[in-house]
Amino acid sequence: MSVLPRAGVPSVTTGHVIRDSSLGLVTETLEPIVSLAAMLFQGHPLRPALVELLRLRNANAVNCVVCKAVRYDVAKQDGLTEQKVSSIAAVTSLDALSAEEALLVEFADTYLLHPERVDAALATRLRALPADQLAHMAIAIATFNALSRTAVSLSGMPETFPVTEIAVPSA
Amino acid sequence: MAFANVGRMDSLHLEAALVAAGPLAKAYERLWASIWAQPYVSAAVLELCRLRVARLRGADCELQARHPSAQAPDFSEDKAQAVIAGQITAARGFTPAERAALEFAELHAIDANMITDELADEVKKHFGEKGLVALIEALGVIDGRIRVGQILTQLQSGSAS
Repeated sequence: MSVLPRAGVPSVTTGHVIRDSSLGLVTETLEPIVSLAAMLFQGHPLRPALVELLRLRNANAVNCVVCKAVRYDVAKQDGLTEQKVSSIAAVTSLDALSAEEALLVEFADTYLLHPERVDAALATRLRALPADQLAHMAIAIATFNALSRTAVSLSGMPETFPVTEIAVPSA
Repeated sequence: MAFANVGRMDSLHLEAALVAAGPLAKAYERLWASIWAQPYVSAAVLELCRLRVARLRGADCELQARHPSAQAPDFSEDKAQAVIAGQITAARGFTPAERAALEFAELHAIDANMITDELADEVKKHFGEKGLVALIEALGVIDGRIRVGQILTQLQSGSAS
């Protein structure tokens, strides 16, 4: 795996983490990405702490160093703890999670590992969710997965990165 | 039941299934439209990549559909069938640019950590630096919609295992 970035960044910086990255080079897709990323944490129907669980479960699966280290401030304010983060980083045990959290993690794992095979018991629980919540979950995991794999594909990430709390990039 | 029966659900037809998310669903569709409209990687090449990723995912229902933007003069149904058959060779008429994009799509789908600098350079040689970024973005969105379509199809049909 290369440590050098495979694409440059815009010559003009804005202070926005997405606009100042290589994604800023493709102006045609930039604003759709920025606005979608901001909307995922707006708090309805999924609370920010639950959205962050989906994001971090994905980050661990993709092994995106920076994605794994970031914590969004709105999720912390919503009750996300490092103990909870450790629980979702563990592959095997969901014991420390609430039923709602465990459902999110199982949904994420199905998306990440075997979307062609949804467990029947999980499917029953997913069908019982409000339609807006299921749609939010689907769009969130798909977006997080796309963005973290974009970061890995563009390379240039450090081998380690400290846990860092940041604000959700604004639209 | 989380959602009504909305009929066909694949990467090209997810809007109805996700509409309950409101503005978020609209934003997701806007991103989908933008990856096909960017000028650096043609819709014809992206459509071949979509079929390649769908084949790898075992998403057979994806293979029958074609993205509307790919019905341009530079789109070849013969190449689409060759991609579906796993015959991405110069003998089947694929250009070096198409083969680079398709190889990149394959590694991106399997494990993005497997992508090499050499392959990224080959993509940049044909599509430019912005083309590399646009291709990577598009592959992530395409793969995401294929996976979501697979999951929601099972929830709708009751075919979960």
